[in-house]
Amino acid sequence: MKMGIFAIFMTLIFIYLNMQQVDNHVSDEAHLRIKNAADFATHDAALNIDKVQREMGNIIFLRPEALSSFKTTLMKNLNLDLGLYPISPNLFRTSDQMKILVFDYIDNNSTVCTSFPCTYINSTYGYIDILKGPSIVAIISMRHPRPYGISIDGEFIVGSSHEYIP
Amino acid sequence: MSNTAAKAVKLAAQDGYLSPRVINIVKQDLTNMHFQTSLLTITGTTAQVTRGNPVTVTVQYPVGNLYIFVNFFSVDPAAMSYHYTFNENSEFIR
Repeated sequence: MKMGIFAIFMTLIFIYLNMQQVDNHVSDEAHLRIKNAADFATHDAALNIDKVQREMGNIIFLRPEALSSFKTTLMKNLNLDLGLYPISPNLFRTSDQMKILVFDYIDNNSTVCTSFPCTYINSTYGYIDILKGPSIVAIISMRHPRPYGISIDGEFIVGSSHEYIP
Repeated sequence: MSNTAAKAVKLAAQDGYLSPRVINIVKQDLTNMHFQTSLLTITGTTAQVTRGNPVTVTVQYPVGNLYIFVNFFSVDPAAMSYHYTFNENSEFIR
């Protein structure tokens, strides 16, 4: 009788710890994937510059092409569709949209940074980076994939910046 | 392995394709982490692409023995592998 009650309690504790372990692991994997995808995406976005301006010595990013490269690389790496919703099967839920919160062009036209190196600060999302040259800064967010619902129902907010590669 | 694959994509983007240099770096890194190089599969873009075009790198490694009664009662599903695929645009200028 005593062993029966003990066994039930231990089973419940085991189930809870197992759920927490899985949630933790999925959380780590998801954050790593988003961060890697954001880094690759800003790298690709930072390649799109105006060649005519570059010949004159200015580095100006092409606005529509940079955003489009950013989205395309995000879609390829995280398996999203054109509306940035995950395509099943995926680590993330198909109903959670990937949101691009901030997409800044820090180039020679920018008012945020007039000379380099420059400290870029976004106080809304707590993103600080020291930029040594013209860069693209992006902050994206994705809802946490909670397989068991033990983790906080929040969002990963991941920032990434990448300098123009000459 | 995920971190090594991400590093491999960044280096492959510099070269414009999955060059032998990148393959060697991946094999070296994973051998230092006690992976067996003979079981490792590294595939990706083989033709050199110019700046702005996508480069893909996939790193695969078979999953080890997780269960003890494999193929005991009937045929079990085929062995799977850990696989990481990353895409990035090339920054190579000829």
